[in-house]
Amino acid sequence: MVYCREAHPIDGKNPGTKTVIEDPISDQERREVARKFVADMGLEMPALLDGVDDAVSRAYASHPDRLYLIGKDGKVAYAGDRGPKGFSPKELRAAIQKELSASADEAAPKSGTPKQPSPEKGR
Amino acid sequence: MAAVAVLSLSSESAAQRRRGPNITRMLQRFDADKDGKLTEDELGAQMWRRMSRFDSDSDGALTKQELESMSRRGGGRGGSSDAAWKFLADKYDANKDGKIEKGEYDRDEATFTRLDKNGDGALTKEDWQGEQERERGRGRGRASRPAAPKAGDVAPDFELTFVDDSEAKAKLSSFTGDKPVALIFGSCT
Repeated sequence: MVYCREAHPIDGKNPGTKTVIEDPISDQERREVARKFVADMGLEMPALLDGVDDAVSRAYASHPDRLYLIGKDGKVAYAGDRGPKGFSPKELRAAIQKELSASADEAAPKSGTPKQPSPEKGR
Repeated sequence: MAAVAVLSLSSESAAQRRRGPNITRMLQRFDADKDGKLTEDELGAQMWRRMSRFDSDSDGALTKQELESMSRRGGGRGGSSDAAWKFLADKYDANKDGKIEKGEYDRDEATFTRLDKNGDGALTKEDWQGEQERERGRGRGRASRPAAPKAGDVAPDFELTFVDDSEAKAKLSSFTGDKPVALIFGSCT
């Protein structure tokens, strides 16, 4: 995951009161909040930290949350809608399955004639 | 960043956030032993974490009455300006005069200025009054939300550090030609 700006910090415009977090003002502060979040959620997937400049979040219009799948070709294979309404793990799962089966097809040997060793070039 | 282990944030919780919980439906669905209460075992750890603060008698089970109080409060989502002011006052108003002055607030000036809605040089309860309505009104007119990359677009490249290791970095384009990458953007709140 990419940990980015808090959606409902207590000092924000729509403060959340369940998890009380002041909006981190430095990368270091944000890292501490993110660390705690990863630990509390028991996340096992790799977690990256977007800086307080929100550069990556802005490039992906990902605030407050959003899902993407980037294909093996480096292009966006799936772009979820803006969260929380458009945050759909189901859609992401389908996109992942599609992507993985496409690359499995690609990797599988073609049916029909097995590849022959190239004929020895006469000299 | 492999495209697996991605589905731990369940769609149930997202749906619930959207609608606000329906108590009857919740009981039907989760109350396995039909005692009219929901426990951590029945709800699962993730939902329990979110809902357990409504267990007002701390007996480890949410009664219908407790669930209703949760429902009235929008399932605990969204905000309360009073709570925000109270949190900040408790933390920063050292002399307890009902004002957080610049000298008392040890964070950055930009945040102080943003929070000081009425621009009187101190944070007071008034700075939070009507805040949400004002912000909502403002939100409607917001035109400059950045455009999101669409399927088929070249993914904007980035290099970020890992949360648990500020020295280790991952670059998105380093996976190109190797494997797909799922990006899950989010935060605690």
